[in-house]
Amino acid sequence: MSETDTQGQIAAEEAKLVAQMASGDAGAATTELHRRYSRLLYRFGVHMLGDQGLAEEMVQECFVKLWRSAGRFDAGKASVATYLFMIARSVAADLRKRPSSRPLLPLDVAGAAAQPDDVDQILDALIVHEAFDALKPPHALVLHLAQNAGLTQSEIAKQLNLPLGTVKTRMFYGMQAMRNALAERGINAPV
Amino acid sequence: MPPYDTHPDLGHPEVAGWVLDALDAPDADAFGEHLASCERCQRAVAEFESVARAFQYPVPDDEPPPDLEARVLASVQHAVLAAKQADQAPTMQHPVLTKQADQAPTVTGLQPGVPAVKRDQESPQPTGKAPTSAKAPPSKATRWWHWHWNSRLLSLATATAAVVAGAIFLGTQLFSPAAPAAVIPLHAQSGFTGSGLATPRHTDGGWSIHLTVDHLEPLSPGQFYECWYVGPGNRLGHPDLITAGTFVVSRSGSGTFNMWSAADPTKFKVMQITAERPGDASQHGQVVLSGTAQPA
Repeated sequence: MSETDTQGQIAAEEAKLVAQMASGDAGAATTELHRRYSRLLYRFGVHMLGDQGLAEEMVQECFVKLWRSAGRFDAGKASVATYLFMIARSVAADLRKRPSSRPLLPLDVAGAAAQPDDVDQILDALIVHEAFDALKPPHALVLHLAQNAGLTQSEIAKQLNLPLGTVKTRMFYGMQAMRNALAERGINAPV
Repeated sequence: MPPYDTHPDLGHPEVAGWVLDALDAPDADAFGEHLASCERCQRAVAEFESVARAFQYPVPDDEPPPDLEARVLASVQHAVLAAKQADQAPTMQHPVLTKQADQAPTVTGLQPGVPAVKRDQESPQPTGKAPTSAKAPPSKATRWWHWHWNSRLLSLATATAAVVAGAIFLGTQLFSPAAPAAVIPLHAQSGFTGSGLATPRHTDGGWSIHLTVDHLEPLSPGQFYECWYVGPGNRLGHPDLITAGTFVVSRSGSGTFNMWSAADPTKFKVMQITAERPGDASQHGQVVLSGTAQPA
């Protein structure tokens, strides 16, 4: 199955789940979408709001709003991920405006909370990091040593006692997996 | 010719090392030269660069709490029920029986402006397109109906039997439920009046809650009371709450309600009643009553 087919299949599957919500069968569809997106949404909330409690509230409100607007969702215009994160942006903005939430932000975190211009970048980063967490450990290790320890491929090969070709291949497939994750989620696709 | 194979989709495997700046100097020089003239590798580098940028960006690694799914489901369930109630309230579709010639009685929805009970009491004989004799026997389909209209005594007996059967059915449903899992006495919080008692019982679908409240302040139009289960981690800015439903009280401030929730009262031991306004599914109102579960 080609990459485009896989992306199309995920999009169709998720559009069906939203249609299921719209038709009144909210439970199973909410559970499945929660399984797929709760971690991303929660981390997005923590980043945007600087507070775990508010992030939890944001996730709850996102799914309620998704259910409320499920009938208006148009799979031809946006993926479910795009739609869900559009909701998340709006909910996070509302929560940040709410007077009662302001004192809860620790000063250092509140100051560092993302500005709207950063939102796409945050989402990309969240998806890529989630894809990194899902990589096979040997692939993740090679990427970690390159990215965080600043080692070259031959230094990595030496440290892990691997052939240089293996390091190159693992690095390539690790990056490809993260690229595919970004493409599959399509959060920043034009609406 | 560079010393590596090409990938059918994304060009050379060196693309990854290039964007991560992890190629050794000789490989970087060779690939740099190749890249200058290979459009496919240029496209691949552009794609991988967006991944590398995103990978560099720091993100929170917090995990959502395990009970978040239950709370999300409860919030959605609450919104669904609230919407259903809102849909039903304005129209109040009471079924009414209509009677037509040579037809079995049919149940129809009440239309605006139509009396609640539409029946031809003055003329119990069926009326239809073809006038029938007053003495003509009813068809088999309407014979029982004929008996109903022509024998008030039988009608009364039938109605009584139905009421008795209904009462027995309701009695078995209401008065022999599962044993209470706990009792939750509810006390007024500072600045408020009222009291209450909640009795949760385990059922196949979750927990039913029998709630009685007394002397609550009647609320402004549009406001309502909401019943919440409060988890052990609940604190300001960190809600750990599952709603059990909403209600309004009459002028007396008293009422008895049956509610449902997925929350297990042995884990969510504190119950709160808040005064809320329509809006999102969060708890924003002030806590009016509060109490802790005690063994039944």
